[in-house]
Amino acid sequence: MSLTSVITALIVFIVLAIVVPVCFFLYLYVKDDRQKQHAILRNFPVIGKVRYLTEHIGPELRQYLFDNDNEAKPFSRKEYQDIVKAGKYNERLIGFGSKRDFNEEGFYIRNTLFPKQRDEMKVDNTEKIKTRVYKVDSDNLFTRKEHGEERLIDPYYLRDEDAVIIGGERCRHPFKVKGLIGQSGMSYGALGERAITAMSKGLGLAGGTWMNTGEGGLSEYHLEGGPDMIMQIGPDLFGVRKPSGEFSWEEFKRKSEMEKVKAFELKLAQGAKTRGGHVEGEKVTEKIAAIRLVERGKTINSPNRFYEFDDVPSMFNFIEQLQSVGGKPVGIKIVVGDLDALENMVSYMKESGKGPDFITVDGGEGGTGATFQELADTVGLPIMSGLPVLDEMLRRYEIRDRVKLIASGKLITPDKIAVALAMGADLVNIARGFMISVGCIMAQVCHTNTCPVGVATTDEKLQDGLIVEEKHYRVCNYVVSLREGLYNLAAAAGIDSPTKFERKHIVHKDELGRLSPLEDIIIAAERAQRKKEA
Amino acid sequence: MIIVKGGIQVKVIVIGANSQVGEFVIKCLAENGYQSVAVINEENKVPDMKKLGATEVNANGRGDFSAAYSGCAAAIFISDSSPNTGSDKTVLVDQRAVIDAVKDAKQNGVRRFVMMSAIRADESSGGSAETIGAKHMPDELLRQEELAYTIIRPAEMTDEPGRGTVAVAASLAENGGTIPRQDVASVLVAVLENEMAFNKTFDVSGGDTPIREALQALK
Repeated sequence: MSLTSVITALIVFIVLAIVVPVCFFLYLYVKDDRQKQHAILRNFPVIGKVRYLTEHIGPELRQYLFDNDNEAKPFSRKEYQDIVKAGKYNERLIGFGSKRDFNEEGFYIRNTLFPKQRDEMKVDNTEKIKTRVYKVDSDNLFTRKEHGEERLIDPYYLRDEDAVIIGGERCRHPFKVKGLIGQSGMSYGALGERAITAMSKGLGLAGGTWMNTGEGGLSEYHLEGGPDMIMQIGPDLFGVRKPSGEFSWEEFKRKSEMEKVKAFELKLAQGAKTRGGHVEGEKVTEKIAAIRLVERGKTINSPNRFYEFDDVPSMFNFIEQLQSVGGKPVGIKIVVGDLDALENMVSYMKESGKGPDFITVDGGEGGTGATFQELADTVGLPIMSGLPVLDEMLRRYEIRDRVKLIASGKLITPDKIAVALAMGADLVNIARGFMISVGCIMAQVCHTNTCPVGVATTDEKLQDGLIVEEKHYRVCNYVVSLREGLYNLAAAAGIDSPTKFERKHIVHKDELGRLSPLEDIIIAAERAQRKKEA
Repeated sequence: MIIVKGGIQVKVIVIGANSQVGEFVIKCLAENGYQSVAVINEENKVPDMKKLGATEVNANGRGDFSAAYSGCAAAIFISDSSPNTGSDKTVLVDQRAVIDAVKDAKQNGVRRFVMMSAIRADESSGGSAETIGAKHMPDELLRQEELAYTIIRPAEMTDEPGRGTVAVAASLAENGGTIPRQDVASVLVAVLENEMAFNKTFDVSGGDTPIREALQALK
């Protein structure tokens, strides 16, 4: 090799390894220094970028590495795993003890000295469910070998005599359900067709449950697996409206004549948002337009409340009409906030003899998907406060037996559900638990249509990742596992059916270990009510 | 042939009907046109048995249920013990209960006795006297009685859905594989009137032969 070629190679090396990076650095330095958007970059060019990079990847790092098992919100790693394991393996076994922080305040279930035996439980396991579960073959450092297998599992239905009947006295077609757990309102459009189909098929397979359509209308995907449906009607009247936007009695009648549609729910509010929704025109595809009965490609701004009524009497008249035209139970979905307004309604229920057949109480913590921070964080009471207050009001006005209460708000494990049942819930709704069982990884981008696992998106490419056949079993296993867990808890509490949970079965423990009965919440709530009046 | 159908439905008593296999047996009997008397241990399970198709239910399984035999032409005895049950428990569960059941059956004119035992129940013959008694005696006892007996020893049972196909042999290999409970129940019902199976003891495991065919192959 000649000297010149060595020198040439050296120069090329120096240019590539030193000059190019230095030039690039200088370019970035000058760019950062001159920009006017970020102070940190003006004062600390280039190096300031580290801040933005770590901020950007922080959520993922925390979710996977740094958050402990109990601390992430809205659901901790532990809660997430509880759901996934129930779905995959149909089991909820853990080893070496609870990860709950027992120093924190919270509700506890009061166990009896002498629990019920398994065969003393009032459970109907006569019809098995044919599902698929995973079995772990070996769990190594880098690989986990597991295989799926078919399994006949016990469904943990309620006995016929314990079945919950909504609208029993007044409806031509009451809704009878042999399980206490159903799927909360999730619209087609908010979730993609694959997620909705997987849930529908899973719930249909599980039986003893129901699916709430969400306010986005009744889609073919909701009906695919044949579960019992509660059709939700929001202020925008999707699916039961005329092209002009008014309520269509004709469409309503058509929907109410469908065998699988078991009840209707007027959505006054939900935990995540206590006002109307918004759908961008580009998301209003032909299919969505057809289901919702709106114009294709046109942006929808839902009203904050129904135009059909604006106070309790006019709402009850509307409900009465729905009940008589449809012959099926009609409920309302609310978030407990203004206790005086609530008491007004309850008192009018008593006075008029009218009103809903069921009330879905969503906690302020409830709600999937897209909303505004200020509404999600601070508007409306959490379920563990709102639910007992409403239950007590209905009891005080002696109309508790006329109406069923469906509770929701992060009630994703059997123990949380049992606490809600003890607080007065007759039934329980779950939304995000089912999202997780169809593959949600809590990426928290529901509002962007870019859900990386194809759950909360209508994007076809992203939905390609979601296999309905695989996930529908997980939905089934999850709900069945929850029901089994409820029977476990009932046995521990000394009752033979989870329908028999009462206030006396739970107790609240504060940070100092002091116990207080549920009634304390009710008394405190009444005090709050009087203060507002004064 | 001991059982004569003669136009009326044959009634079968099922002892241990509240076990997982028992529930399938009750259902299978109803599906095959038999009447059944389900003997269970807990009053609370009566509605379940009715729902599964039991004609009558006797909830006195832990006490004296001899009255339940009346009118029955055959008995299906489902023991709760499995190959994993300790030998001490086998004595308690199997032996006493089988002796009583066989005695009651005979007294009440039941001439057909089908029993589900554990696979390899006869292997214990090499062990100590107590062990022999534990695993061996119920089977031995049945052989001595004047009953048309069949003892079915299933391999490890699973909750998989029944396939309708099995493998049947006088003695299956050490590692007998697995068999869905639903298939065990089907076999218990299928042997009731199958003379090929009379006075025989055999192992049953998951396999590829349809149940009826597999039973015909018994010699």
